[in-house]
Amino acid sequence: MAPTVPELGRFAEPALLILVSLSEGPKHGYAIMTDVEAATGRPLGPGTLYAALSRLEERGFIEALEPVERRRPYRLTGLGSTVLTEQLRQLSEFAELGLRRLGGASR
Amino acid sequence: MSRRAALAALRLYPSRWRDRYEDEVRALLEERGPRKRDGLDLARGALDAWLHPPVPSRFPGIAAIAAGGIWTAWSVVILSNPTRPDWPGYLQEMLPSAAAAVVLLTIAVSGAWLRLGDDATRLERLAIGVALAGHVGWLVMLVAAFAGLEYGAPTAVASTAAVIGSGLVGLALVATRDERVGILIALAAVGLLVPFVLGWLIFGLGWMGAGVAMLQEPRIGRRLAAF
Repeated sequence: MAPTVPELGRFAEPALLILVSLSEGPKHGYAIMTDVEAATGRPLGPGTLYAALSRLEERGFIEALEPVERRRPYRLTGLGSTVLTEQLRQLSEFAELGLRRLGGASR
Repeated sequence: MSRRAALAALRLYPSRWRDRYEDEVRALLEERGPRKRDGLDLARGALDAWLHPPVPSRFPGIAAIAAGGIWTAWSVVILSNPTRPDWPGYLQEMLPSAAAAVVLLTIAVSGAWLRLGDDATRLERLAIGVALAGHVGWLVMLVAAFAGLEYGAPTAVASTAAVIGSGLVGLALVATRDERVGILIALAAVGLLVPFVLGWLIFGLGWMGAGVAMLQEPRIGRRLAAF
């Protein structure tokens, strides 16, 4: 049986975007928001962002650092890094499968 | 206007959430500037924060103990009393505490639902639905009986649905490795198969035990159980 890797649960898509954003280093809420918007072209609302952040923190995928003024940076934990790697691997396999099938269909 | 809506929506969050995140969100809104949909987005986040607290509430456990306590107390009174259990006027005497117990049981069953988490299977959701609808129906029928409207078959149907539903919820919890709470809830439900007062006693003790177990083993959803 394959080892169980915890899933992202509710707010899975914003959570994945946040984990990817934090994979290059700690960021505070606004920096995550602008990074995600720049990468995807879609804005992340403050309610969605903090719902996902609180869930990720609660599950131990990210951790809060000491606040700088009123802005608190977050960073990826070891567990968060494992979960992100597994999620991206699954997405990559799925994308490959889809592209293979599309390739087969176009022949 | 957008800023006012966003700040008003922030006030909708639970106090524990606000203690932890409000300052950060306010700083973010000041830095970025408010946008039109922020109020709606924050209101949605507030609803989620209420429905899925990071720390499980102790309320369902306390409700289960109180409801089980009411049932147990009545069972002990009736068992230790030489009069017949259907003494004249017993219904009017018992109805207020029975209604209170059913309200508390509804809260306890909601707590069991939160323990299953939002990734419950279709069958588990059906069990939760039957249990909650049964408890609400049971309460409505008790209130109707108190008002002198009806007491009989509909009450029996609603209470049976409530008990079968909660028994299935108990089994679902056992299947998700929440054994202690699940077994005690299922035991409470099965206990009612035992004739009359002894069955009530098992029901009451089962829920009291489940309440204690809920408080001793806080849990939110099966996905968190992986840690």
